[in-house]
Amino acid sequence: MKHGLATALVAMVATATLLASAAAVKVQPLVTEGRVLAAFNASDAWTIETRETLQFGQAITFDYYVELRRPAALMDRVVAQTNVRADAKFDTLTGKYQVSRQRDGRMVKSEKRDQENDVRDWLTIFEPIELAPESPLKANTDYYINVRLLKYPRRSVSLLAILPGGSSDLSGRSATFPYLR
Amino acid sequence: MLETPPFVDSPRAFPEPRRRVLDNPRVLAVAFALLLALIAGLFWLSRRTAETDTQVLTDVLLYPLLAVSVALLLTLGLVLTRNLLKLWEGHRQAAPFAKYRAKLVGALLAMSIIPAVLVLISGSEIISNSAARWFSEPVDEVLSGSKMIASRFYQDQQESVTRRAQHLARSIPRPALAAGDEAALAAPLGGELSTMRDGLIELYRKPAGAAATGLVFVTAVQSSTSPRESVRASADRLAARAAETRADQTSQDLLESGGELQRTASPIVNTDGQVLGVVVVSGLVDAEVEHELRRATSAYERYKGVFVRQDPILASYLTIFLTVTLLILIAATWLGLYLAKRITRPVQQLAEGARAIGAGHLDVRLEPETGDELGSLVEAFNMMAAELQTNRGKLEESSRDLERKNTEVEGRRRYIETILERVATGVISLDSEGRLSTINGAAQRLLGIQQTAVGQPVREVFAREDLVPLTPLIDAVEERVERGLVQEVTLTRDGREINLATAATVLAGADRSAEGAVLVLDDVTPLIRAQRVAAWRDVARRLAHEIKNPLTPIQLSAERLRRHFTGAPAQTTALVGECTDAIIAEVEALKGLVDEFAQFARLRGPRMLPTDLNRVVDDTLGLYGGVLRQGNLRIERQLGAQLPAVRIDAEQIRQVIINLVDNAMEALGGPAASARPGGEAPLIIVMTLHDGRNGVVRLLVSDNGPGVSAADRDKLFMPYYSTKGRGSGLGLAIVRRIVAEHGGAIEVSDANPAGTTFTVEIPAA
Repeated sequence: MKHGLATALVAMVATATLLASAAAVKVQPLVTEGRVLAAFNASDAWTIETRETLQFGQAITFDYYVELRRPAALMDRVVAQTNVRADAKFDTLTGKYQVSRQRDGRMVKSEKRDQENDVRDWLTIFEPIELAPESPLKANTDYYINVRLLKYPRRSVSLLAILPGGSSDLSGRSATFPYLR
Repeated sequence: MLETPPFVDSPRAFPEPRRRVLDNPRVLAVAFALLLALIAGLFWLSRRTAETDTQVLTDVLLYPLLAVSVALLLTLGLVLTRNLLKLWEGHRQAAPFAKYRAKLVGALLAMSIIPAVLVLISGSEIISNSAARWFSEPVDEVLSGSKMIASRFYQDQQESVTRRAQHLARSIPRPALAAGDEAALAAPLGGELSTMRDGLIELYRKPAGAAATGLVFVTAVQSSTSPRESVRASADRLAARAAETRADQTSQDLLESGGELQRTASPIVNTDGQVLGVVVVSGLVDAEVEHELRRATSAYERYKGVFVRQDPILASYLTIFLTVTLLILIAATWLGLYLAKRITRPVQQLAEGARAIGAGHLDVRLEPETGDELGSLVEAFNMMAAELQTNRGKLEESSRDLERKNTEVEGRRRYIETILERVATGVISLDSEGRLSTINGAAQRLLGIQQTAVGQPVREVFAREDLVPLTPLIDAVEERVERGLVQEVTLTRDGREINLATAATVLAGADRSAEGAVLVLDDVTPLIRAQRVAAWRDVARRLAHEIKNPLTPIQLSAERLRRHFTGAPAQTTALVGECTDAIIAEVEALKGLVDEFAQFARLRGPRMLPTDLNRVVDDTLGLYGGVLRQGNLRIERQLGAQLPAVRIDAEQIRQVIINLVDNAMEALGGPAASARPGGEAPLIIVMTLHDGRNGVVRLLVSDNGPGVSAADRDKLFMPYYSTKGRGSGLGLAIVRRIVAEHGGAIEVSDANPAGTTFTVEIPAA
């Protein structure tokens, strides 16, 4: 940031470009007993920078927006969505990790971990979670699951973030699957 | 500034109408206050940027601010582009003061944009440099070292507690534990406790056959200085977890009184690995120490927190700075443009207004938008325009009045001219130098002079021989006889006498100086003639009365004498007969003469009825059929077709025709007239025709006789005037009187090629 505003702006654009080429969230849909579940893995989001931030004692949040969508000609329709949030905080005094998970703003689990790998998995790997649509899904219709990840704290700034949907750090979608009953 | 529209009667393009909202000082003050509040709010945000939650920092503050900055940048660009385009348009259309306005706008924009951009560049550079100094290596090392020391100390304490727990777990006598013998257990527990500064040891045993977590609290020992508020439940859960996992479990309990209790639960197992119990050792970290440890790590974490968020924080600072700068820049730019407009618009409008005034739009009014000198100038302009409009209104009014009066005067002049042209009275006007100014038709006709005489000295014009009698009038004018001169003058022209009643009047101006004169000439010849006729009628009546009465006795006496002398000698009888015949003949002649006199005197008024003149002519000329059977004389009729009816007394008109035809026959030598000297047959033509333009019907009686001299023409119609040397001389006098009483006129002229033509004009019905 020695060159002031211009440097900062260039850095923002560059970061945005890099992020745009980052790996995606791996999403695995699962249909069982008429329910749609989504398991996803964002291990690519665990970076050296993330680990460093965690070791600095900063609270880390991986905010996932999981949507069940039905493809359409113009704009895909979202039929169900949920928000899953995973937090981790390293206590630099005790050397332990405090982790927690929330689902749609409700605390699901909070515990302490000793190992960093456990924390990494806690933040990036999610067992199948159910997506509950407001109306019944249409049988024999194709759907797919989209997962958007927002990581906090943001260590870089992207100008693209001012655009709609541009603030996502990572995203991924499953293959289209038929909903059979 | 301008009322809408700027010109009351003109939709011409003009500087844009005043934006009253923006010109309102209160609105400007509110906008300025809002701007200040916005900037203050941004500064307030910037002060809290470092402590702001990372998610709020980026998603709530940074990115929206970035979006706002982009919007402001676009707004600024649009404002500048719009105004530059307007300036360019004004320059292209050569609008008044376009160059001046462009220079002013350019100067004001430069004054606002250049400093703002410089401040933005230098400010961002300063912020960036300052941010680079947030993180220095010594600070990082100190904080990292402090954190490492704190955590190492803390973890060493924890490990120490763990080692004590493990040691006790190994050294606790199993039988005493199984038996729950507190006395036997007190020794090892107390011994271990004695090595701790502030410690707490709690012992659990697992009864045989109990579940893994079915621990029973056995005993606890603690230092005198250790806190009493330790919660057993925490130790119970930790012991249960250790028993369940068969592994050491650690926990840290924060105490209400301050400080922290580091705990380690270590399972007590036998040689078979079965859990016999659990010992929980707790070491107290002093409140003060714990506070310092937390301070050290907290400082480290805060430092690293800023380090981690340095880019968003810096970006937030820069964005806030950029936003503030853009706000100021937009405000300054707008203010600059506004000021430029405020300065140039009145001048521009004054120029436009002056141009409009020059083009005749005097109702142009400008609305003063300020109370300063420009406002006074606008008010002066409005006063000038109002004054000009009022004056022009007055001028137009008086011009219209003048035009109306001129029209009236012109009409009056034409009316007077028409009257003067139509009246029988001759009017001549002279200028102050005695030159003819005007002369009407009657005067031209009476005096026999042409319109070309206008401008000539009247004395020269009247020097003509027949006009010499008018010289006294000129003398009177030149002598400025105040009352003028009135006299009757008789002119003789072409042997005809013209009796004129003349009057000369000097025209005096306001200073009584002579401005000219007017000569009025009234032809009184007909009047004099009428007077003569009236006199003659009176004479005729007297003659008829005085002469006719004795004629019959004279005639009877003569006849008696002739009868009386019938028996007388033949010579006597012949003499008497001759004398009495002469007397009787003369008496008869006198009777005829007296009858004519009586007829002239007693001529009754006409009883006019619409009548076909041609038929009257036909009937009358039919009387001459028998007379004209012998001799060469012919009467030819040329009667006009479609002759309108005329209001006449048929009997009197018949008399007119007879008199005129008789007169013509007399002139030709009677019914048995011989051929004319030229060899042509004696001919009388009776013609009727209609002159629609003058509204008259004409009856013409022409002959190819010897004609009448010009000197005799006027006298022809005088009673008792005859060129034949016989007759009463009343025939044409009677004709004139009848015609006159029909409202007509009669005149005599030469026929072509020879002879005389009498023309009678009778008004058409």
